[in-house]
Amino acid sequence: VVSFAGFLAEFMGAETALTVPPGSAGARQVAAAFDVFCAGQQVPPSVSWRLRVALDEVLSNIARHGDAGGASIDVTFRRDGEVLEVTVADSGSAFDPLAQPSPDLTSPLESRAPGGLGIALLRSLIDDVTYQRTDRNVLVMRKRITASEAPEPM
Amino acid sequence: MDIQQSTQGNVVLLAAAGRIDTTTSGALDDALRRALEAGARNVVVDLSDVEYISSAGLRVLLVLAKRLRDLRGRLVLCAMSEPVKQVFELAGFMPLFTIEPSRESAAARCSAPA
Repeated sequence: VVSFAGFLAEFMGAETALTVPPGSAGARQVAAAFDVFCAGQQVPPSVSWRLRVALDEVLSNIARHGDAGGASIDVTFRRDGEVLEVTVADSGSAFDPLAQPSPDLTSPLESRAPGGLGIALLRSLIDDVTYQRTDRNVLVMRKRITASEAPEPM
Repeated sequence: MDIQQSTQGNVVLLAAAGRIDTTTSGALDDALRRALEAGARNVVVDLSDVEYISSAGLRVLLVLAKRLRDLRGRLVLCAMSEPVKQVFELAGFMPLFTIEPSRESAAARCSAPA
């Protein structure tokens, strides 16, 4: 049985938008809102955790660089059919996280520096990520909900 | 995130549960530092109930591994949940750690003479 709201969400797509301050308080707000969105959209945990990690990497990156993202960060979650799209826009100075060099993921413990690891992770956890500089930094991440990542039986 | 600590012989076991990310990794770091300050040298970290780990959490485990190596201690990670395993693989972290499938095998390996 598919509820009308569920049908509508699947057919029309669904969207949640919020504005948060930079830093860990904002990151917590985004995580809580994403939980609600994923529950409403019945996103399997095997898919949602990847976007949760990606969001954590992006938000901590914004908090670390430049002027900490300006005054506020706009985050949008969107479901379009089987594609989840997360957009993060901040009004800090221009910074393209995707243009940063990837760390060496094969070096031994002594020479491991954690820098750049988050963005390398983000790239491999989701299907597609793009950066655009308008008057803001706009990062768009997409992850397809595939059959192979349907919820595992509990 | 929730952290349970217990002791088995000379092995200190920490079980983390929930999400290890920017907002929670500080608590894990604090717990591990306290354990080392209290003299723990053989440490098992159980990751079975971890929903996911981001690079903030990887950083904490990397620092712990380096500190324990400097202290001539031993670190064994165990019972990784699927998301943790995937992140470790993507980050190239598997070869950096001793990883056991269960808490029991981890405790045995952690306390075994070198």
